[in-house]
Amino acid sequence: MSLKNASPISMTVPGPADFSSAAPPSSLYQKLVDKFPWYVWWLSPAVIILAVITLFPFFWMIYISFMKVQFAPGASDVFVGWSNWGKMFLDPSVYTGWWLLFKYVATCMVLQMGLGLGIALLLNDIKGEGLIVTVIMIPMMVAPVVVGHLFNLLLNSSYGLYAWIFKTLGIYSSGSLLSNPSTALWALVGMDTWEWTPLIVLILLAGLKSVPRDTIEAAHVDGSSPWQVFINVTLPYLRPSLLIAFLLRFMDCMRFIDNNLITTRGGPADATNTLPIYLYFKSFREFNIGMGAVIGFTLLVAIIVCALLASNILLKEQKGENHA
Amino acid sequence: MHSSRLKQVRKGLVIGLFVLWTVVPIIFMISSSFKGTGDIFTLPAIGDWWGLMKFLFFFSASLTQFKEIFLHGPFLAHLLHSFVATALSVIISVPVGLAAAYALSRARIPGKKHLYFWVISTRMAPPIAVMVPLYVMWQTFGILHSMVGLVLAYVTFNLPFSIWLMRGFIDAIPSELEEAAYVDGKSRIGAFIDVVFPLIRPGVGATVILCSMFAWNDYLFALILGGGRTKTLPIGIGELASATSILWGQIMAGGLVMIIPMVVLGLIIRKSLVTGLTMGAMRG
Repeated sequence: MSLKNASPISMTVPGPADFSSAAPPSSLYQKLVDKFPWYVWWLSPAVIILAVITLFPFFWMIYISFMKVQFAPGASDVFVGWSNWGKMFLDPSVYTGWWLLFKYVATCMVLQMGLGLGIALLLNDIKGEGLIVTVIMIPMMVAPVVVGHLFNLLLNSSYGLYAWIFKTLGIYSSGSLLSNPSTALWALVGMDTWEWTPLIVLILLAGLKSVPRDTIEAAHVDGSSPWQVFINVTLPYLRPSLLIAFLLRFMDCMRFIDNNLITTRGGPADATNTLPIYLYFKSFREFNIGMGAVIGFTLLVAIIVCALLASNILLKEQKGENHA
Repeated sequence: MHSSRLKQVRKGLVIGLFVLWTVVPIIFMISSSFKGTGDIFTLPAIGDWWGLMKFLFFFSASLTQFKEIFLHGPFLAHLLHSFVATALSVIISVPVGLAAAYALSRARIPGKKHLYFWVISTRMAPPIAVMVPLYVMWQTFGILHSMVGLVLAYVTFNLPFSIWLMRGFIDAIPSELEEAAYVDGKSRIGAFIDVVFPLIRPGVGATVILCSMFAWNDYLFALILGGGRTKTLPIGIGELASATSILWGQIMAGGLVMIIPMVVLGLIIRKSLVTGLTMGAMRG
């Protein structure tokens, strides 16, 4: 293939045949390569793997939601029609699960966004920002299983450090926060806030760097109060970062259950039995896989719908920015 | 300037409290790992703050817990399983993801937007919902509780992630660079290896580290699909707490061993870490 005389614009991109210039064009290999556009070969390994391990399970999930799955050797699955679906809609634990999940996610979001924004604003441009950021990044990298056990010990009523501090300050002295039905969910919120507020701080700090300093100074010179500067100058620049931080944490709070599974396991007295935890126990403790598939499907659909809405909001935001 | 001074102090105090709230659990964990079993539980009398300082910082250090986990338990085997599962999932996900990311970045593909959304959405699925069909599938294929099954499960979240992250890095490289290489007579693969790859190497490094972190820290997949002869570190650490006894010292020491590599790697790629963890939210 000679490119010397060709104009660079029309001929610079190699054709599909260019996969290996060493192979003669007539070989069977080359014919096969030529049959499809080049990107097919680059994409297909990923697409095939993803289809097998994600798309296939998705349809399998719909299929088993109509079955009674049997694990006994020799027993085959039984078709039960809409029975699993009907049971789900009549199961009060499912509704409680949604409600607890909502309470958990909502509190996490309010706490983490508020705290994250406050700390980011305070940290921005102070001496030692880099060092402090490095230190507060550590919790994000700690495995959830370790976070769970660590807080189990910290809150333990007889030898936990936090329980000791609570007693000393006279805040709380009746047992572990995790074993009291009225506080367990809030203890989980606290654990998640400990681990993930730093991420919000980091995202918002990156966003704050985009606020032009002269605009802020000009506003100060004009006699605006710090509050006015924040509302009129900082906040508009920070909007995309706030949105990203919110959406990201929202999705993750909905999805992940590791801390709950390690510490309270849905207890005490079902106080932390959120929908994903209920799904776990239905599927892998009671081995009611059909029911698990139904609940899993609704949870999956809810989250995909949230993701679609989120990406639309973000796209609109980015387009709005381009027009401005 | 008195009021501004006061403001400074107040600001410092709030930041200080936040840093304290963030690091105290870590300090507690480190000091508990270096104590003899009895010493972990000897909190001072209520209200004795100086005693608490001694409890956290000035105690008689001992390596009992580390000796216990490394010499007597199955900890080393779990460490090995974790390492193998993590490494294999990264070795599959990153190269396959890199090729796909390059195609998604450079080619005009019909329906690319939908293809891309599908890739992203697989990463957004709640793991516990995915687990139900995977469990039945793995059972059917006979790879439940095996290393193959666990690695494949990790690929379900690491492959879409590496496609997403590396596509971002490739998008930032102008395609004129490759076109110049084509003029020089390079093939597509040749241009990719000689021109694109060296430029995105830091991005690939960050992808490798983040994928390792996700697999290394995973608990749920290992709990349900792993186990048996492929128990990983999180499961092993979890088992130190049984209904009858909780070996706190060993849990803390094991946890420390587990988090150190990830904290080190995470700090190395500090900048990409935030980009990586905000995955999917950055672009439509």
